Amino acid sequence: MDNPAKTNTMAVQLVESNEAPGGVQLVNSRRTNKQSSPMDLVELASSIQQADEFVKATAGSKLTVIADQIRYLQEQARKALKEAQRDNIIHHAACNMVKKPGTLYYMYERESGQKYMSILSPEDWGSSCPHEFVGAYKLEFDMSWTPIEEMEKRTEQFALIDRLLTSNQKSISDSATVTVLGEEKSEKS
Amino acid sequence: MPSYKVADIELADWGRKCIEIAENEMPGLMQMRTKYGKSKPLAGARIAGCLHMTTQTAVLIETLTALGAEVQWSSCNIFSTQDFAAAAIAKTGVPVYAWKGETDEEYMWCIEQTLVFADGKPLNMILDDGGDLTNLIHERFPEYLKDIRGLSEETTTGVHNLYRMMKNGKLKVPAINVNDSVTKSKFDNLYGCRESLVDGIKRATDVMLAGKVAMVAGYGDVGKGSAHALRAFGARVLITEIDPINALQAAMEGFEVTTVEEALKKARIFVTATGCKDIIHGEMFEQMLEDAIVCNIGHFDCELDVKWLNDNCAKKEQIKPQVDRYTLKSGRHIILLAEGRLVNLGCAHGHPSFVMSNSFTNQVLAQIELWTKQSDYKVGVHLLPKSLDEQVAAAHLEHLGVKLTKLSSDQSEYLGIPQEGPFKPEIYRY
Repeated sequence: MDNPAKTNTMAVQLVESNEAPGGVQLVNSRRTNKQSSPMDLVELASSIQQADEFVKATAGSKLTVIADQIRYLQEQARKALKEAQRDNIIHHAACNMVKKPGTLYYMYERESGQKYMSILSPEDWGSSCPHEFVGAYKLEFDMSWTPIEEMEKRTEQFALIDRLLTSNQKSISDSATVTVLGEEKSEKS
Repeated sequence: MPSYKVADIELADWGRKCIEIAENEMPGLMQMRTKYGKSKPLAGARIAGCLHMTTQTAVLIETLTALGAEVQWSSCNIFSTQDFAAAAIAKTGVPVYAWKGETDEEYMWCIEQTLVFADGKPLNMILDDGGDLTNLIHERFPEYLKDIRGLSEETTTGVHNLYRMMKNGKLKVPAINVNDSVTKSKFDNLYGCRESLVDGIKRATDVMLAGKVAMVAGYGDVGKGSAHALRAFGARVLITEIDPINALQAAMEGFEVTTVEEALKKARIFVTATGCKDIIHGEMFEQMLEDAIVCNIGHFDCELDVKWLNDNCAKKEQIKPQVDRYTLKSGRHIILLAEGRLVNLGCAHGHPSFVMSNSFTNQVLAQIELWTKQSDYKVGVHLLPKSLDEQVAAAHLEHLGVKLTKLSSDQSEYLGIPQEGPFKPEIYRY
């Protein structure tokens, strides 16, 4: 039959004992290492178990954050791919003109199913519009297309970038002036 | 909403520079401005124009407005608009509806936009090229006909249409056939195409012409110019003709005159210049040599059966705008330029300014005649008087440094010809 104390030492791993710590021979290492109370080991074991659970919980919550981020990135990737696909479809729609960035184009579908791009809006056509209107898209300078519904949002984004750029530039040039002035001063003095 | 539709209004400054250069090369039109700029004989005229919206046309438009007319413009070909010229004209406030690469439906929309002017009044003069505007008004807007004093037609196809309408009793306004002024057809069809056909082929394909066999269908003025230009580059030119007189002319100029069927075996370049339809059709494409270049310089795209190519090809690839390479089911390739429409406009910049100044000075004189001499022109198809034709030519001599000899009164008496012309009888063929 197994020694119960042995199982305990298996479960709770204690630091190895040394009969001559630092080269000094202990008189009786068994005495020195003897557990004062059998409960000590139980306590130790339960504290380890508790720590395990804490680690598990912390890791769990960290992983959840990562999982959320992955889900978000996946969603972003899906959106990017979808937009690329849409841009591609628009670029490849029939068009007799050379398309120019910054211009709004209108997509129509002929009876044959052919989709084509035009500079005439449904308003230009009025009631005589010969083909079904599919959508209006603005060709951006990076050759991507912005649907007319999202144009306002995109314009706002551009305005924000503009503001950031100008304020950044300003602070950069301000600090540059200060440095230059500082150097001038030090040279003079 | 601005009263124009062009591809890009920001091209206006560029267009203006081109127009300024063109003005110097268009002495006939500039002389009209000097001569009639003060008296404004076209005051009150509301001219709807439907003619290739190019730099040269811009100079015509500004001549018409300088003479007092109100003008609205569309292009008579979906690919021929020079967007910078259209932009420059739009910027001056002249309503222009034209861009390079319209669809057929947009083309008709553009023409319709030019019919009613800003004040709500409809057009009272037509300046047409090809007859689409003329037909549209006769068929769809007959209510405007009563106010229209006349129309001037630029080209052979449109003139044929006018004679056909006249024969069927459908023509309702007096018309001047500008095309058959000597200074028009004998100049832009011949000398214009002589320079712009090869320009178009070269820009589109960079093909070496020397030594190649080229076929030109039709030996009218356009065919003559085309054939001579190709020959000047060293191409060996075959001509096809239906008219024995033109066929004999071609033969006596040293061209081999044959049929399209025969030409298919050896020609690598095919140019149609007939004004007729179905010159090159289905089975003919199948028999052509590999990568044969096919183009049209006659007015309509129906000279070539482009539909057959589209319906029956295994593959169609766009090499660049206006240049399509078809793979036939046999594996052979055909290179089609400008989708079978005018190659010199689709693939090059059309006729040079100087030769267009001849045609357009005729247009201006025709508009003045019809607007100011209503009683002289009944419903029918008229030619400009020969004296005006001679006046057009005279307006272009100085720019070339030509020294004209004057008839002495003695010589004038001997010939029985007035010293100031007209110098030739109506039947003279030049």
